[in-house]
Amino acid sequence: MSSLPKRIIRETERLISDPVPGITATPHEENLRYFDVLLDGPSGSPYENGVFKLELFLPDDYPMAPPMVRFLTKIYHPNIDRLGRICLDVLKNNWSPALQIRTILLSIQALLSSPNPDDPLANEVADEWKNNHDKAIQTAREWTAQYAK
Amino acid sequence: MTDDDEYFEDFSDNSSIELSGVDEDVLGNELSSVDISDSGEYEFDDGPGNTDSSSEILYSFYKSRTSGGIPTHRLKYRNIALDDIQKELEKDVKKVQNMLQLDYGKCLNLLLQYSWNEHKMLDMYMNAPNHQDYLLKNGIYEAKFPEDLSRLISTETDENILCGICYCGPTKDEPMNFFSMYGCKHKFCTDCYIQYLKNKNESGSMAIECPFADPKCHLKITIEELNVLSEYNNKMEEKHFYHKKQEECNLLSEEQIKQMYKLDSDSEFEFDEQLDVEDDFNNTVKTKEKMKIDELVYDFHTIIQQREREEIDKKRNRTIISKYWYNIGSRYCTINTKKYKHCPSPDCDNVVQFIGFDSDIVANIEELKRLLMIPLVRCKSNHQFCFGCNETAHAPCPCKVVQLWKIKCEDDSETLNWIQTNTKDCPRCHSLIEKNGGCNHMTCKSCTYNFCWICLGDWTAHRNNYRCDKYVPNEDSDVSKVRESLEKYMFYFNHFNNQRISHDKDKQILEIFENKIKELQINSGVSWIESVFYKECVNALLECRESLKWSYAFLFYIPNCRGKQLIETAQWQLSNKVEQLSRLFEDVEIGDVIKKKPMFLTIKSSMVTAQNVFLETCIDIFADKHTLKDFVQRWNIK
Ligand SMILES: [Zn+2]
Ligand SMILES: [Zn+2]
Ligand SMILES: [Zn+2]
Ligand SMILES: [Zn+2]
Ligand SMILES: [Zn+2]
Ligand SMILES: [Zn+2]
Repeated sequence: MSSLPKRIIRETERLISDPVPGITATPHEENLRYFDVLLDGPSGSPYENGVFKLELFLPDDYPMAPPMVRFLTKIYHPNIDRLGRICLDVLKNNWSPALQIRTILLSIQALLSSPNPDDPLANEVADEWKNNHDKAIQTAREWTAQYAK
Repeated sequence: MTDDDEYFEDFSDNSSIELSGVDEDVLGNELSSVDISDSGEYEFDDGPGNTDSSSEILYSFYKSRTSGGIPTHRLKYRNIALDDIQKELEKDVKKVQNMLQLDYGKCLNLLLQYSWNEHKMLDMYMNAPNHQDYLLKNGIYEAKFPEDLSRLISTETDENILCGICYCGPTKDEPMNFFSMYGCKHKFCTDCYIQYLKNKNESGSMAIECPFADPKCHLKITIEELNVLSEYNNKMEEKHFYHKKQEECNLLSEEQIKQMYKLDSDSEFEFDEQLDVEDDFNNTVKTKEKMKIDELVYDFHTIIQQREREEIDKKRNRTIISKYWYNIGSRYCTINTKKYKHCPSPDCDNVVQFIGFDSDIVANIEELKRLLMIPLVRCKSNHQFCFGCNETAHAPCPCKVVQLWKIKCEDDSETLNWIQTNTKDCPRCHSLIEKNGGCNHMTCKSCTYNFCWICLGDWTAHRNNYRCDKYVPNEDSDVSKVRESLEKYMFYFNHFNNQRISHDKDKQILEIFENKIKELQINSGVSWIESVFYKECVNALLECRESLKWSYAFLFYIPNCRGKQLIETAQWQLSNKVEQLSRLFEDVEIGDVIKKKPMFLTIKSSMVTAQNVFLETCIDIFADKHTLKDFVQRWNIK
């Protein structure tokens, strides 16, 4: 394993010693830039009671470049596509090196509470979300029950 | 476009900008002047930057009228470097600065925010109920900068401070330097701040925001602040550079070369003289010493060129401020495409500046395009491209016809599924022949049959009665119209593609040739300058190939008429010269290159003449107003 920047070590230490409620992030032993993430669906959202698995990877130029995050658990959400890719500004243009893994994961959790169907990544889901809201929520709930265990 | 261009939403939390340092600032009434002018300029480059308005005016065609008397409505232009735009932009910024009485960099940021739309920006500013709020919304802290901005970098020893990017902090024994913008107190260590700016620079961002994220700080860095970090960075890198340099062996200087060969500075060996000598290959007597010197001169030149290139890279990419200005200039070109065009050749920084037209009737590019004229320009590095559509040179094919042709090729390529291969069977003995040069005159290695690559006919037939470049409608056959138009397209596309392949092959041959030339210089003492003539031949050859290529696309759209015949004749003459020169490059024994220099130059100049005649003929076809009108209507050219 090549040397790890101090920043990543510090962030990892804190994620483990002082975890965010509802979120666990565990680095792989053989690759400390690669994290397994478990994220509880926020209460009051159709993802409530679900536990979602994500993968998070810190590229070589992290923190200048944002971490790469992807849902591994199937999820019905207008800003998350079939491959689990997430459309979130802080993971793209609005990334700042002063943000952290912790803040990113919190932002993702917040995205589950308040989806943004006007900036969709999954178009069909977004359409459903806007035009047939009740059904969309229902589907999201069903998927959560079925996959996010 | 980057997200930096978008207008600002309100700050979600204004408290992120701490209004600090207001008191210290009262004295800072004088405009703090940052010396930006010497930031992105090359000392060794005395290009148009220094002569600016007096730099040579160039034209898109070599004549204002064709031999047939038709005006060519030439575009007038000037070659500048991207850095020259900076000077022009500075004038705009200063103007705004005088009106708003704000620091230079803040005005620059405002102009960037509004894509240099000065009126809109001033309008918004003037109509804003509160100027300070308005500026804040645009990421600008209104209070004037103090005289000395270097204090933005501070050396810290406080162990409670932590850089929010690298998570490192200073200790009493190991202090660290931190930077924060004047308008906020968000400190990050200088290394991180610099890396952050470099990354943003790489992605072409302008008016870069403070990296502080929680809550997001929307203050934008100004050029003055960038300058502080850029200079700091230069100093750090210089230190690093000298360290490395001392270990490495230094390059030989001209003086050292002379000393090595015991030539004093008064001897007959002079660099400048050497550069002026054009035809001294008659002077065949060369001492061994002279040969060695030539070798060294060649190496020396190569090294100098390389060093200059590195210098440019260093200036452009390594100083934060010059890269920043580069991005601004480049962006400005894309906003003002009517006036400036960034050369489309990869890695070329040159810019062509539009001046006007050498014409009574043409006032803008669109009118010129409607007359089917092609505004070809050359950048400072001699890359030819079209000012009308930013494509590489496509004469004699007008811009709109190029578009038509491209669409046609896309549409038809699938249905035809027509694949041009690089091998063909010898028409006589059927052994496989690979086309290894641009020339269409093929000689089979097995049976020595001379034939034409395009039609596979006997080459001897091409010399006297050249039939190959002409499409002859097959009137006898009773094929349907659709079939015929497809055949016609196939014919022109075949030729078009063939020229494209020849162009690529020529390029390969010429690369090999270039390597041989280098060997020659080392083995036989031919100096660098004596063999440099071939480069102009190479460029001319490749340009003529491009003309030939596009001429087939052009001819496809030209109805059968007398003018078309004239074009075909001129095309044939050009094609002959092109093949002749291509063949010469292919065949010449490398040892004979210098001996054959006059032959190269003669063929080249007759090729260029043929090229000019050809292009004029293509213009003349529209001399008749009806022909032009018909053509424009038929192909729906607006
Ligand atoms: Zn740092
Ligand atoms: Zn800030
Ligand atoms: Zn160029
Ligand atoms: Zn064009
Ligand atoms: Zn043969
Ligand atoms: Zn032929």
